[in-house]
Amino acid sequence: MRFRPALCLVLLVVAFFGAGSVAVAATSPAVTAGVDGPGVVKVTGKLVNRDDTGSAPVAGGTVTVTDASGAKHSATSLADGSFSVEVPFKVGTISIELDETSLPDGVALREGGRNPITRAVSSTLPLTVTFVLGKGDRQTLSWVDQVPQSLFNGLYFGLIISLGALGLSLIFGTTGLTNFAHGEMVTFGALVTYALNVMGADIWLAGLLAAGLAAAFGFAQDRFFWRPIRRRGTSVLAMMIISIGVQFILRNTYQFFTGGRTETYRQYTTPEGHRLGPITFSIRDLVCMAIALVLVVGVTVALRRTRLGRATRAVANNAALAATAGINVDRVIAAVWSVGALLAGTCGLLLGFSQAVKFDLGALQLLVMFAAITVGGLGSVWGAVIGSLLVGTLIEMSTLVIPSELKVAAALFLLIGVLLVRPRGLLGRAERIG
Amino acid sequence: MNRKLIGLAATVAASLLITGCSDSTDQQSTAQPSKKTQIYLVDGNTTQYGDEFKAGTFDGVKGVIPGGKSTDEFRKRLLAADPGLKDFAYAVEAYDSVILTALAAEAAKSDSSKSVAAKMRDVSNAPGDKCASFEDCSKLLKAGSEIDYDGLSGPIDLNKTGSPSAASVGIFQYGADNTYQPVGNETGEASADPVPLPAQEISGAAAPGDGQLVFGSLLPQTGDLSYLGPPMSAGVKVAVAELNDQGGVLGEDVKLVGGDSGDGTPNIAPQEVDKLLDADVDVIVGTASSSVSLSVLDKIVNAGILNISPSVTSPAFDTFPDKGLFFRMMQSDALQGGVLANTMSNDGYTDVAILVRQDAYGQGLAGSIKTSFTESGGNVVATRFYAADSGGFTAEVNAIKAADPDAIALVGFDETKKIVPELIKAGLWMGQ
Repeated sequence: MRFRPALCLVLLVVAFFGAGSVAVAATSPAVTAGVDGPGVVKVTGKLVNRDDTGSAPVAGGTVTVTDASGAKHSATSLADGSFSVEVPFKVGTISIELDETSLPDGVALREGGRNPITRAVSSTLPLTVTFVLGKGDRQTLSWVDQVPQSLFNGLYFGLIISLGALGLSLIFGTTGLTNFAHGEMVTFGALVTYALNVMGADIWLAGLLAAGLAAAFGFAQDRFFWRPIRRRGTSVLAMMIISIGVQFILRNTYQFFTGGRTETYRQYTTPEGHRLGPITFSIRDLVCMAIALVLVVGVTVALRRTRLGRATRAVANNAALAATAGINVDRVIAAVWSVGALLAGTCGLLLGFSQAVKFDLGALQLLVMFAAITVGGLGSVWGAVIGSLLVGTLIEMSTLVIPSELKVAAALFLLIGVLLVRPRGLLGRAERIG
Repeated sequence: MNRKLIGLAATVAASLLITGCSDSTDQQSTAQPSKKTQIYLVDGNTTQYGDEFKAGTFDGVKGVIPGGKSTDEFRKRLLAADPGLKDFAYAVEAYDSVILTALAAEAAKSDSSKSVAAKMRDVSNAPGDKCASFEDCSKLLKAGSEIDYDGLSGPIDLNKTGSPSAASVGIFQYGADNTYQPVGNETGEASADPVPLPAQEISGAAAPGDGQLVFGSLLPQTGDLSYLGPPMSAGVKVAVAELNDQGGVLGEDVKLVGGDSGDGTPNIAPQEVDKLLDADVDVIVGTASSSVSLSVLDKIVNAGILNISPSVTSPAFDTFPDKGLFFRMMQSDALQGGVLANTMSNDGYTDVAILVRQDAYGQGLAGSIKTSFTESGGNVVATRFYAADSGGFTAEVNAIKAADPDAIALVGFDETKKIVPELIKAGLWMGQ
């Protein structure tokens, strides 16, 4: 009986995603046959030989089309490999054959390549035929070959997301608020960076300013919005509902200004890929990862080593007790909001590189962040980081076995799995806040 | 514990830096293979990318767009209606939707949906005197002649299931400035009319009209697809203004009621349809996307209201039991997909991959690309669907890379801006 809610959730998730992926039957309309019109149908294509040495057009190949009434029409491929045959228009099927003896030495149909090819004629739209020549030059990767790249992509994504998750976890830890508007603080960082960058600021300057503004935004949100609400003794549940409202207000405001379009920064949007063994990466990715890593480590160390950090942990443990011990709880919470928003904003501006800037950038990742901090253990700092890395890796790796449109669902299955075995999350009990 | 963690972090950071530095020194030896994979776009993402990307990013990418392009003169009228317009996708089709319906109402001498629907084919198809503006066409109708409206978007000959029967698909190629220029065009006319299903015939008597033709627009103003809304809304506004300048339809000014179709998540379109139905609209213009349209079409046609969409292209509408009340200005994707497959084939590619947005539009179009290309003799070596709301697309691009195709058909909308940089990073595309 214990696992019934979880089972229901699994079923719900399956039903939800299942319904989303139901294919709309792509049936073409029935066509009445036998109506002949004037005109011709053009049959075209291009002969290209592909093998280890690369691809080269094939000239001099003879292609013969047998039309619906049985007449034959031929053409020879030109220097660029292209050929074109015109046949009178008649509804029915035509058969196109490549004369393999006309091909130059060393050029042959690939094993399994079709010849002749039949095509149905139902309109005067041109038709093409594709003759597959040569051994081919594709270098496919097996399932196993893709693992290192997926792992790298997962760690990259997880590390960036961990910034957002860390902010979410800190705010939850100190105020008990499950902040649904956190995704909008992520978006804030990306939007400000984009706006400044488009106005001409260098991306580094734009990013620094955006992170600073995000911190100010977080501070202001707490000072003028959440603190008064807390003072009135509003319950945590009510505050959560309020945060859902804040989420909608902010997201729609962003959309009002950006018009729903996907925007890109003007610098480092299309970095060149480098290869190291089986992994392709860009220098930009490494810089983003390094920035994320420095921030995550910095915040964690600060929580343990600094006065403010220790005060934060005290407030998280028991705010009333911390207050009697002389800690200014409001100041601590204001600091946590500022740092949380700074981390979220940075997460957003880094995400903006790989996922472009859009009004729902952060909102789309909110669920992933929730999954990450729940897996890692609510309120635990290292839990948020490890949870993010786990969830990020799982999202990327899952596509090796399940259809990629279901990849986020994989993260939620991990969430369910972890909660079934360890309801407090991976680090939920051992370490609370720091 | 602390020390250990700091040490670990420092090691990771250092190894990352070393990786980065060592790589930049021996870049030559680890360079990507020089093989280039061609990218093909479709009507949803063939837009002017301009200075949003570094010069040359899209150089050589090809795309196909069915239907008409707005002329400079028409663009001026659109900009007058909405000075904030950034692009003009489907604006001419939205304009033609309104004008064609208005002409059908004139021909039916009624504003009742079913009477108007019964005349839609008469005013768009031969036989009849060809005319190209509401002014000319309505004069001909008043003089008692048959008309064949040729709109800004093309000849608009509707078939028996309400879709254009003549296909004209433009083929475009991007230059170094990331904007596209036409390089070709494939036209053809379906020889035979599809046979409508019984549920696609108009049934029941037309309700008496109230004399005023009321349009409701159901176009995306919020959500994922909201960037498609403004050009279409401007097209509708320009058309309505033109109708009223010409003295309206049936002697009365036409009215326009606005509605928001959203993007389907959450699906706000059904409520908006209720709002439009309460406002007693005779015609609903919209929606922009196949999946949203499919979610409200039953409701609209069951209320006996005519629905005309400027842009939906899913083949599902060819067989939808629409009671003869649904029309569209774009050809079914069966045609667009065929032309894209033809283009890949004519360029000499034999092993292609398809990367598709998971929705009614993507599935319909990808299905027709796959069918056509396979029929032509080529191989589709990978088909990957992605959820548009999943944020990043590294996993999908990796899967495509693993199949190492000659060419990639990218079927989607705005998220193409995220996918192309990933393709470049993966070494699948490097411009020209």
